[in-house]
Amino acid sequence: MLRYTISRFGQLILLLAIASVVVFVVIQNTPGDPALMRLGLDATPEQVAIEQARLGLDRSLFERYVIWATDALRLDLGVSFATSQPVIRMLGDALFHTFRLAALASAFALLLGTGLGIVAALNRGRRLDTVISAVCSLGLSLPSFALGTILIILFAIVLRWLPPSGVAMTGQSWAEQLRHLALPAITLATPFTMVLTRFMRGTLIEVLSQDYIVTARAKGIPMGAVVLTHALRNALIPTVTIAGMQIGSLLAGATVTETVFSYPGLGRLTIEAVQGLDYPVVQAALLLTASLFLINTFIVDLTYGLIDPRVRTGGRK
Amino acid sequence: MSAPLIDAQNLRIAFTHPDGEKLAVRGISLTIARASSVAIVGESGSGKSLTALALLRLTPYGSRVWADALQLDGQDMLALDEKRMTAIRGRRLSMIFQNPMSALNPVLTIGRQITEQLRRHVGMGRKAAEARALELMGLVEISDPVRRFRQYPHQLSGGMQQRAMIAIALTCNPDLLIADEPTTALDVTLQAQIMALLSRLREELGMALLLISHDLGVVAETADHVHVMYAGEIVESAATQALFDDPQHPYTRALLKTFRDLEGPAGVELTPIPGAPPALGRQIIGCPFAPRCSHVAERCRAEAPILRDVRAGHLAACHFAGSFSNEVSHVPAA
Amino acid sequence: MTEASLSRAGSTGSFVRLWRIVSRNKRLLIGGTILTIIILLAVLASLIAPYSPIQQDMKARLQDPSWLHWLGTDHLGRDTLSRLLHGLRPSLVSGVAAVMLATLFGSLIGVVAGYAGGVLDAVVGRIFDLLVAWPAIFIAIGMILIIGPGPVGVVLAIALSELPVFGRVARAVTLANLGMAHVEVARSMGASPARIMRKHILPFTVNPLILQFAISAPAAVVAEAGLSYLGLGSQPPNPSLGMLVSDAQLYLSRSLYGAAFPIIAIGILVLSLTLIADGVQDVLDPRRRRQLR
Repeated sequence: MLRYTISRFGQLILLLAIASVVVFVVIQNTPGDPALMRLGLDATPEQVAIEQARLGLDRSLFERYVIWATDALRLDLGVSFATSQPVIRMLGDALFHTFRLAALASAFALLLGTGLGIVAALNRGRRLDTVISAVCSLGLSLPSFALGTILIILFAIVLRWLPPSGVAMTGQSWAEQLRHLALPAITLATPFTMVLTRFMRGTLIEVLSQDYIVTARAKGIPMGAVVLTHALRNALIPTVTIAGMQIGSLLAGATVTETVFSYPGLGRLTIEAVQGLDYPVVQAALLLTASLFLINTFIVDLTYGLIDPRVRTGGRK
Repeated sequence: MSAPLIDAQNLRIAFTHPDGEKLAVRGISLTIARASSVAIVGESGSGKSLTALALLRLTPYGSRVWADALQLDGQDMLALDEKRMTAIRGRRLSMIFQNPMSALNPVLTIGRQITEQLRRHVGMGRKAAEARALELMGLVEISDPVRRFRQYPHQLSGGMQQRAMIAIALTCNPDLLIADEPTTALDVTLQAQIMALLSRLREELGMALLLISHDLGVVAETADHVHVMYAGEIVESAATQALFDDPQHPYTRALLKTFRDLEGPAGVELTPIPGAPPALGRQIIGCPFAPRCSHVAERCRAEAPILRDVRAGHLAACHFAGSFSNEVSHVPAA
Repeated sequence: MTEASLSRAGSTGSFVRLWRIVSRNKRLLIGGTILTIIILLAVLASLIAPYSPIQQDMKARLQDPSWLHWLGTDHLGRDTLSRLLHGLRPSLVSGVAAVMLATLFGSLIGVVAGYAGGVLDAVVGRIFDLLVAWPAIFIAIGMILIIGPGPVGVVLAIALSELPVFGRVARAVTLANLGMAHVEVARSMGASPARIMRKHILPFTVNPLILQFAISAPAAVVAEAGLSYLGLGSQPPNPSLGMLVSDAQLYLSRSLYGAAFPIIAIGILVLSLTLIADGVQDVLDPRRRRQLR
């Protein structure tokens, strides 16, 4: 297990490095003065000149990368062109909001997705299963923004039950905040839920057809206990991996959902920055989302190692 | 004479298929007496494993089991609800399977899989269950049981996995142990060891044994009575010695010939039975073995033979049963 | 080597055979019919749209559907129906073109990597692993930064994000065939690697690639719609389905139709593509075929 962890960690570091290089290269190709990106548009010409000397715009690409990377590791990511605020602070706020939304959506999706998947698998071939599978196909056909808009139409405009935008005024109660988060969380959670349901169902059906399930039933273990003790454990192992990957792609889904609901998260920040040519923010946001994504993958790998005893005990004998 | 432990009359098993139901087991009848040892022999696809699963009512998804009678100690098993059936499984009837690696749950320790029944059915506490499990592991000759208890199936050898399965099956002292091809996945030396173990356990525990196999050698050593299955039917049924000495169905005779060729002096040609068994669920007119039978006649293709007495306790389903003479006399020594 | 010749290699270009396969499978039939209708509408958009999609009329803003404007008008008085018809084109083109690019380059890289083996294969494999989980949106943002917003960036971004899937499929087929007799024979007769790849491996990639194409197409259309919604695709005033929804969202309290119609259009398009994908899977997937026998 230790060896597994170390190797995965090594991969994480390597991939982070590669991602940073990619982001750096992309940024180099945009029309934007790196010195200005560091200091913001309000900087004086003298400050710009000093910064340009520090960044060494006449030096080799590699050296410039190193300087940029060390700055990034010190969390010095420059100043926004749009708001003249340090980028790191904007990112922090946005990250907090995205995190809240993603956490709520994940909790919802994990519970509902695995639950529905189990129900569908146990009722295989019967009407309940068909209904669940049909809903999944439908749910996956619709893009997030379409679903979000429909939910807004339905719940905010026609029924007036829930507010259409994602953020309550500061200082409002938990309940009020939850009301605002509800629609975006549901929208964000939906593709995740559908994928999870389908996957759980398929995996569980496959697990239930395995020999060791017959053995367990031949031992006189009632079906409920068989599912809980024998089947689910095996079915959860690949499901955890898929769920982890889905959480990673929640970052992408969040971008669209945040835009639909005007939610001040990382995704919306990035899009607005792109549209407004606010390069320091874009660069930092890309780097941050890439890092989050890779760290998420690492955590998923670790979790997989922990729950699959075949990996834990060092593989085959 | 007391009622047999298992009494099955006209057992049928069918699979639902988009084109309609397909019969896999076409109406077989057999009894298993207490502490006896019975074998079902046949090719793969003959329905023998299905029959075994039917006794536990664990046939796969999409199948249907029905019979004129299916009784355990006089009690109708088909009428039992799932809850009562669950109480019977593992306690009065238990089963071991062909491929121990896939029959054991890869994510649970051996110890956990053995003690599961003890804690659930018998209500033992953790320590008591562990002690009993270690005892069972010793009984089935698993070396270093304390260490093995905490290991996972993939860490054990094939032979040891099979022994673990046997330990699991014996946990609650069942009246009947069903062994579905217990040695097929093992090498020859292990085969002999496992079969010897099963025989010994049978005697010591007074347990009945139902052995499912395609291997006549395994059957010859261990079973008192043999049923031969072909295409979902029993085509011959006799005491082991009688079957080997005086087979009355062409299929059995062909099987024995193949078997003897294998055991015989080197250089004797193997004569496999030409052709293949009928596909699952196909409508069969006449005798199912007719296409491959060396004694086939016109009558065989038109009229299906009925399983009937040839001699006392010896049944065969062939129009010409009773007319076959002895060609070879004895079962070769092991 | 064009995409057209790749597919011809598998089906000997006979329309009659294609028709026979399609007509027997209900999903293919329904999905194919709907898709054909949509394609026709998109192609003939300029001819059949009652108005120009960019013509504004500030006196006729946000109207409900009427005989003058079958689907109503948007916030600038532009006819929704016309904008919708013209908006079909970017969805179809981006979705399909992107997947075609992914198929082409993905399969080439996959076959070469699989054939060459060794370090090249390992490196390519790792890059694919990186790309495959990466959501298209991030790739799109990177692309947009470099070349600016617009349909080209969207197509390239979607192509890049789907490319590894095709690469993997092609690589798997290559590896499976490398060990087989016909490749050995060709090699022993001195055939060049390029020739072996072309004649002995590529034909086997056709069916799996077609299947993957069908499976990836709906995802690509959804991705394009999302990117257009975010404003990264076709730029105003050129319409695209995603943009129609984002424009209409600002005025939802005044009129629901502006958002409803493009959403329905996207839904139908994606559904038809999904039906086709399921149908293709029924026809091509060897496992399913064996079950039907």
